[in-house]
Amino acid sequence: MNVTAAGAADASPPLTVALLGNPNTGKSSLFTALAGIPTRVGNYPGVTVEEKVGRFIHAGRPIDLIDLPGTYSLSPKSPDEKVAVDLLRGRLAGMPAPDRIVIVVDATNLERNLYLASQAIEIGLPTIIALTLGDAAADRGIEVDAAELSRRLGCEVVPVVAPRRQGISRLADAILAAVPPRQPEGLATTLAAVDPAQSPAAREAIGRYAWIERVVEGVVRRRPVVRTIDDRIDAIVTHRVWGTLLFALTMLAVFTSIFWLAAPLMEGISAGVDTVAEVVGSLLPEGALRSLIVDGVIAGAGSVVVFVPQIALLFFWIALLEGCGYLSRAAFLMDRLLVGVGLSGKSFIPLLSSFACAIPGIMAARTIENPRDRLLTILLAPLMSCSARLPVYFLMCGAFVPNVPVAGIPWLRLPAVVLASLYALGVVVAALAALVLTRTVFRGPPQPFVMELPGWRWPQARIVLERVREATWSFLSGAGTTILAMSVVLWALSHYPRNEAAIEAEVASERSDLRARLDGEADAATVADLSAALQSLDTPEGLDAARRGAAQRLSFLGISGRFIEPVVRPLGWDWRLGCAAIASFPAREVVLGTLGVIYNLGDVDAGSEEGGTALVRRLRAATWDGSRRKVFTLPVALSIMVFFALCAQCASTLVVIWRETGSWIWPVASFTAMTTLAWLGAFVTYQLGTLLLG
Amino acid sequence: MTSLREIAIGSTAEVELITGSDPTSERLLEMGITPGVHVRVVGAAPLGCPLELEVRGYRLSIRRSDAARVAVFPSVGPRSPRVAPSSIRRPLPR
Repeated sequence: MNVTAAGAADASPPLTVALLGNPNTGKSSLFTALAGIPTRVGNYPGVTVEEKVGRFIHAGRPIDLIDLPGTYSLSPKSPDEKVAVDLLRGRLAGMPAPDRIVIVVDATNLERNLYLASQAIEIGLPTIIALTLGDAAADRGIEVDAAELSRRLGCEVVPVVAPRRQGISRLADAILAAVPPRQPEGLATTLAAVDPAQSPAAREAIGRYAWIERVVEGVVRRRPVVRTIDDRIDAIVTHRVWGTLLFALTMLAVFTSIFWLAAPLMEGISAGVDTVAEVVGSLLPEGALRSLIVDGVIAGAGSVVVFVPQIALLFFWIALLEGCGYLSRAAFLMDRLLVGVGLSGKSFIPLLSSFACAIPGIMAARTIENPRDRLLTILLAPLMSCSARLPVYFLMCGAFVPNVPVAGIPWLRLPAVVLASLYALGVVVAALAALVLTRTVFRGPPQPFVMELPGWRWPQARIVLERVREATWSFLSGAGTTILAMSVVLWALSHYPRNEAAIEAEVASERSDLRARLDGEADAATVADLSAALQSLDTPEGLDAARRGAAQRLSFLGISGRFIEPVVRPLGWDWRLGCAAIASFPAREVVLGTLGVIYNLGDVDAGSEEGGTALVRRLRAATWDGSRRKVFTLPVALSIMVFFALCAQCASTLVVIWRETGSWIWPVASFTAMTTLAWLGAFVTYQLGTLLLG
Repeated sequence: MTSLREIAIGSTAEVELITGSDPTSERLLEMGITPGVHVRVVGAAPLGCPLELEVRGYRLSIRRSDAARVAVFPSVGPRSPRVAPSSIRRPLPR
């Protein structure tokens, strides 16, 4: 298009066109073919239903294409569907009724698609029908006479094959030329003729389908097919043995890619961020500003970007599985497992993904149309043991859980049993939470679970990539900015108040404390640990680490750690552990780093052999203030692990919960409930452990 | 009264009526499970629930508990053409 055309186009007001259709009809594919990448993505006011608008120019006229949520009828059953209906009828605040309606009708499934279409035509707005999936219909021996269908429905019918852009420009012409439709022939009389004894909803369905059956007769020609492609694929996919096996393999592939495949990418991002931090750090003078930029802003941005590989990979899989029709089959296969706790099979993939990371898991809950199930899944996702908890488990199990066989079985070692129990704990607590929530907060009539199993088809690369782009971008621009802001706030809390004199005094008292403990200590291992700690204070690095530890302990976060000591005492923790727990609020995995700093090791990489050993030595040597009693015993290690299995110490997750639910109530409720559960779990573990283990 | 829940896998049954008037019943009707239509029970998930149905040329899945609200006439054989709309039946008095 040339400049003058675009200039002229801007002068005339844009035509608003609503894109309406059943789910799984190739609607998003048609949206992309017409409008390309959406120019505006947001939420409709007051609800968490996504609003997607794309602008394109056809024949000099700007057109705003509004992608309505997929719906089966104009009597809505969910907030998604209600938005679609309200918008069409011009009842949505601040949004006038559209100028045109494009109804997407799937040629492979004409009867059911015409149900919504016949309702939408009756609204009386200029309407065009886009007949999609004609190629898939032909594969199934179905042929649709578009001209005859158009005559019977009283509005234009344009066959399109969106991925190959066939019929797209004809459709755009038809959009511009569309006039209000005639009332469909015979519809009103058929509806009026239905037995009045039926309920209104039944009358509507019976009458409309009776009319549709007559419309379709002679318009659709079916070549007899003994066994369709769908029959043959479904026979395998939903087979008791093969279907289950295929499902297990698919889920393994999904999980492996976000758990393992994402890891090198995430490490690459971390390394890149470290390099940037180092370069920027070397350019700035030592001081608060450098710390703010390096430890606050750059580290914060890094902690946002690091989630991108997992989100992109998960949404790649979801788009792929959704595109070929497997996503609803997966929900079909798993439904029975989740129905017991009040969820549906659609929650399976989001919850499974949460074992890698709750953030992509919570975002994947977007595939659940039912708002109650979606919210419940979002709230349960953080209880699944994510990979960020593993370093804590590994360190504690390795250092404090004796490596002895369980129940006399030589290969069944206690640390492995503890690790498995922690995973089971999250699942069991989530199931109990679901049972309680569905009987209290989320009580209500059961939501319909009537799920279409769409026909099998090839996923389209463009749609898959668009889905990945959309998910990644919505995370970066929505949650990402808030996570970054939060990192800066948390940096400030762990950096201020900065009192150098107090820090020096703290280091000095540390030194004298170590000397006092060394005097009269009999245990050779403890003597070695204590003198190593004392000697390190005389090296520049050791002194620096001690200063950083003191600064951390004297920061707002550290002070609050001391302040909450009475609260963590029943868990068997001293104030340092309380500090570490509070300071790990940005993300669980930082707790080991924080422990390193608090115990004067400076920045240790607890994941590495060397760093891990150094940290374990420090932890083993740690004693309660003013006594020789060890802090870390088996019950304490167990109580720490149980706490981290259940707690909500992940600011990013809470931010994503806020973004996805559109309300601060849910992250606050989630944090409160999970922290309470974690405390109770750790309390019971420590008290029982002390009782049983002495 | 026979319900869709009791129909053997692979069999087809003719819908008599949908009981209840809550959103689930309404959705079943909207999805094309209307009196007179033929529904084939294609299969069930490995754990026994939900069911996979074929109706009006497409597949959908409903739970066994919801299938109980679809009253059907006894099985009409493995595969038969859909009846014409003129055969829509009035619900039988209970």
